[in-house]
Amino acid sequence: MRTAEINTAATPSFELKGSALTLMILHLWVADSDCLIRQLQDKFGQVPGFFKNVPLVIDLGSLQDPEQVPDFKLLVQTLRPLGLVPVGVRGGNAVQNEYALAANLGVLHVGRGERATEPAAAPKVEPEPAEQPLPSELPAAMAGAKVITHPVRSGQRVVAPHGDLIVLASVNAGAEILAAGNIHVYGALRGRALAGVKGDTEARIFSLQFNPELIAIAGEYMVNEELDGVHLGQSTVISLADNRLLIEPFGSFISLA
Amino acid sequence: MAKVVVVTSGKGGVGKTTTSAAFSAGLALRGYKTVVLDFDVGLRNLDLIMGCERRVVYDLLNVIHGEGSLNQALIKDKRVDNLFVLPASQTRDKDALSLEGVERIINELKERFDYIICDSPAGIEKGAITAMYFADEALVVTNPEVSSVRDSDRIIGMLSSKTRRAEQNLSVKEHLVVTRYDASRVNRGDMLSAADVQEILAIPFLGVIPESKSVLVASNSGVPVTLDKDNDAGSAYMDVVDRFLGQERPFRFMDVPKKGLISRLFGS
Repeated sequence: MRTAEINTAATPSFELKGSALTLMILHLWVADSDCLIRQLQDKFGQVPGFFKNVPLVIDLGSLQDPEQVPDFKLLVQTLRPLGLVPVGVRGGNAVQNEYALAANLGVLHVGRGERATEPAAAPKVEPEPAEQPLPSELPAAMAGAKVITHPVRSGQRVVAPHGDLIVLASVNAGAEILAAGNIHVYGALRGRALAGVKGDTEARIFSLQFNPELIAIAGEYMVNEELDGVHLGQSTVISLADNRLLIEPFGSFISLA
Repeated sequence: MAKVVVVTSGKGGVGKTTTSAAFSAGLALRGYKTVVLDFDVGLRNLDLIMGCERRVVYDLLNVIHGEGSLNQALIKDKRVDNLFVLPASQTRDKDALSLEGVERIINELKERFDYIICDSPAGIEKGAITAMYFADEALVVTNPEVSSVRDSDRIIGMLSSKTRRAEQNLSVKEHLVVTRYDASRVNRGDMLSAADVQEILAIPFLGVIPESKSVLVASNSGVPVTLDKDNDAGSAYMDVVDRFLGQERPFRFMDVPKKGLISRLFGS
C-alpha cells in the first residue's frame, strides 16, 4: 500500500531549513507596562486591521534600564488583539529571555551587523535611546514598499513611515495616505495623499485617476480648489520643483489600433 | 446555519428601515424563518414600518435586562408566516445596549431563525457599532448622492475593522443596495449613476430600488413594500432578496423606461 509506505520511518516527512525573513521589530525603550501598553494601543489602534497577522519581534536591546523585565504576557495580550503576532524577543539578557520563554516567545539572536547584546553579567553604560538609530531615519529607498490591496475608505488612514506606499485600489474621499517615500495609487485618488512626510523632497505621487482632496510633498501642499482642472480625472505624477508642486500627466500612449 | 445580516448606511434617511422591513419580509416570503431587530434605541421606527406598533409589549432592552422573555418580545407578523419583529425601546438611549446582552439574544435567535436582520441606527457611534458587531453579512444602503456614498464608504471601513468577524480575521460579506434611484435624474446628471456608486464603494452590487411614491404610502400604512403587489420598489426589493440568496436576476430600473407611442403622444 502506498499510504503505508509513506508512513515508514525511511521516508522523510519533513525538512528543516534555515531562512532569512524580514520581520517587524518593536524596539522597546521602557519596560514599564502602564505607559507602554497605552502608547501601543494608541499607536496601533489608529490603524485598526492594518497589522493583521503581522509577525513581530520584540527588541530589548534599547531598553533604558537593560535589567528591567517587561511583562511579556501582558504585552502579548495587548499586541494580539491589535493584529500583531509576537513571535520572539531579541537582545535580552538571560533573565529577560527566561521570562520571554515563559510567555511562549522564542529567543532570537541579534543579526550580523547589528549591535550585539552585552552578556547579562556585565551590564555596561545605559544606552541612550536618543542615540539609537531610529528606523525612521533610514533613507526611504532602503525600506521596502508597503503594498495595500484593498480600497482605502473614508475615515481610514494608511501610513508607510519608512518607504513607498503602493495602493492597488482607490483612495476614497475622506481617506488619508502618508508615506516617507513615494505614493502610487493604481486606482482613483480622491482622498488626501502626503508623500515625503519625513522631508524627502524627491518623493512623488502617482495616480491613475487624479482628483484628490489634498496633495503634499515634503510639506508643500495644495488643496483640490487650487488644482488645474485639466489634470482632474487624468493619470498624473506630482513632484516638487523649486518648492512648488508640479503636476504632469503620465502614462499616456498613442493607441496603434 | 443562521446568518446575521446588518442593514447599515452611515447616513440617516437613506432607507435603512424601509430596506430592513422589505428585505426581511422578502426572505420570509421565500420561505426563510426571519426575524428583524430594531437597533435604533430611542428612535424606534421599524415597528411602524412593519405595522406592528400597536402590539409592542416588551422590547430588545427588556429582553437584554431580563425584564421579559424573548418569546414575549417577538412579534409575529400577521401577513407572512416565518416573519418576526423584535422592536427597540423608545424610552432609553443607545448606551443601554450592551454587547454581551446583544450577543446573548442573537445566539438565542440563531437557534430559531434562518436570518437575523439587524436594522442599524444612523451614525458611526455606539448604536451603529453594536448593530454591526455580530454581523456575518451586511447590506450597505446608499443613495446616489456624494454625501451618502462617502458615509457608506466609512461604514464599509468599519465593517472590516470594528466587527467581531474582523477581530477574528474573517471578513463581513458586504452587499450594496442603491435606494431612491431615479434613472431620469441620473441621465440628466443630477444623480450619481449606479455604476459611479459601485466604482467608488467597490463591493458586490445587489441592485437599485427606484424612487417610488408607493414607498411612502407603504411606510405610512405599515406594510413592507415587498408585501405590496404591483409595486415597482417592492419587485426591485424582491430581486435584491433573490440575488442575495444567490440567484441570477436581470437588473431592472437602471434605465429610463421607454415610452410607447401612445404615451409619447398623450403624455404619461
